[in-house]
Amino acid sequence: MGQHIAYRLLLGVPVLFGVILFGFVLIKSTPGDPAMVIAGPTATPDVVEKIRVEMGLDQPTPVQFWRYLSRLAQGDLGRSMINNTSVASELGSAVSATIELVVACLIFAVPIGIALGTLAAVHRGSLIDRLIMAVSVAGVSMPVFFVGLLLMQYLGYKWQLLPFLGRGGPVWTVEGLRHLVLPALTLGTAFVGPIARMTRASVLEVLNADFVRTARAKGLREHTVIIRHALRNALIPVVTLIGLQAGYLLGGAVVTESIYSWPGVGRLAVGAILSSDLPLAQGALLVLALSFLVINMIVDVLYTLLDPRVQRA
Amino acid sequence: MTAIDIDQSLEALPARPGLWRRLPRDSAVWISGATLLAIVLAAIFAPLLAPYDPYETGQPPFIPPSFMDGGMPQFLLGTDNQGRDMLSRLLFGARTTLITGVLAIVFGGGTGVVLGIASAYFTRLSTPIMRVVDVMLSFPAILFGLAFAAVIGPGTTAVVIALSIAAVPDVARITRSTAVIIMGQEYMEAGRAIGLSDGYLITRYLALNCLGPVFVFLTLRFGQVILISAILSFLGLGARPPYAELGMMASQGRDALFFAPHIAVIPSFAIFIIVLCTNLLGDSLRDALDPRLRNS
Repeated sequence: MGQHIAYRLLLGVPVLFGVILFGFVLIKSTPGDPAMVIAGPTATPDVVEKIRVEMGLDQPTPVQFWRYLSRLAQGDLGRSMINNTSVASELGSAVSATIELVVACLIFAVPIGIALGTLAAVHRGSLIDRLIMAVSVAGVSMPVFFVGLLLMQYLGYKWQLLPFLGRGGPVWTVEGLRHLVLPALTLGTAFVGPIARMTRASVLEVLNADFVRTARAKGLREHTVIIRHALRNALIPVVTLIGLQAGYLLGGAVVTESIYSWPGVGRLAVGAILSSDLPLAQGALLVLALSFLVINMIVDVLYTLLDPRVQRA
Repeated sequence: MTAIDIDQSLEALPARPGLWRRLPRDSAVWISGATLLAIVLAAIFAPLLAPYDPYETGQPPFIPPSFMDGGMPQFLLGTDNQGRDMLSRLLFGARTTLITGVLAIVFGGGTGVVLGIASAYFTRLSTPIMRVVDVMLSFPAILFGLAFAAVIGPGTTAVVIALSIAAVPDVARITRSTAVIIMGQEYMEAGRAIGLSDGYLITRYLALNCLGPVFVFLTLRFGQVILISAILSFLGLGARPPYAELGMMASQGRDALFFAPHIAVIPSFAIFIIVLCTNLLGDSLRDALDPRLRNS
């Protein structure tokens, strides 16, 4: 088990290096001379040359990469090419917006998903089971933007129940909370399906276990058997599997942020790519890749710790 | 339903279920399969079926579908914000979306199968290949999509490359785990004993026996690939206008959402149906091939 954890952590090193190298290549692949772009069309050759030396662009590529690394270590991600703001500060506010959205989504999707999955497993083969599974397959097959556009059209526009553009301020204010509802609901709807499916599979497996049979044989009430014995054991894989779905959640978050103009990292990344603002795109992609890497690692280790049966595949 | 019932239902299954004998019992297979086939045929024959040129902008814009108030009989699904016939665009859009998905599955799945089989057959290659696969597995498809759009610019090419690469690691793992089991079979030993070459053993003995599980997995994966490619196009990172693609059509409809919702809803619904049918088909195939996989 210790070996497995060590492997996962070691694996992170080349991946981390690859991600950083990618960021560097992205910056380097800016079309045209970055120094000239920054200096502007009216600058004299002297000024351009000065900027080039200042930026280290006259140095060989390995030296440039080393400088990139050391700047990165100091949290300096460069400047946006469009509005010349610091990429790091742009990302700072975006990260908190994305975390807010994802947490709000989980708060609502996880309990519903687990409840539906358990219900389906307990009534396996019945109409309820079929209904819940049908709904969750439909949920998994639904493009996130479809859910988003429908919610926006009805709850936001037609019935005027909730705002649907941007962030309304800090989450503890009424406006902030109201603005959060529709994006969180959109992202959550897409996530309930997978959670329900995973919970159902996990509970079904546990219901077969000897200790559940023992619990029943002791004469415990069915309710107690399901909640106290089956569900508690079934949740170990589910909790970690939810973490492994982080990629799915990330895809959903990027779309949700774009639909609702939610000022998160996903929207920032897409906007930067579309406007060819490569420094900003590089920063946003680095943050997304790194956070994904960290989540994956934590989940992986957690999985191994919680369930010793997991060994290296 | 008690635990004992579940045990019995598992034991009641025939030891080696014949796929074709078991499938007809499952109506989901036939419904989803037929729907999918109809969509694929409609996409293939789009140039013959489409009543209008999908890029011709002459018609009045924002006309709702003919079955709604204000609809016109000559535009069955209405027109979009530039006065193009929705039905024609939908047919051509489905074509683009399906082609993107198929290309990604063929390239990514093909590479994955080759890597998986190579790592199972040539044991010395196993460790390096699986390490690379583990590294690739560290990132979700959407991130590959964003990254390739950033490097080579938004477009269908970026989407296909990204989704192909994203499909490789899972396929490689599935193939390898199947191939490792087959490597232990006696007929592999027998083939080697009669002096068959590596190439012959791999292509005729190993690869053919791996295809079943891999095919099922690719079917399940196809839905996800379509979904992510639609998401990327919706974000503006996939197909470029005026080229019709379902995700991009939904994105264009977003601007007219409040007064002409059909422009966004129709292509979104089409994506939903395609992905739903693929998922149902994949689930049923998996259950029919191996009921024990149902819980995984």
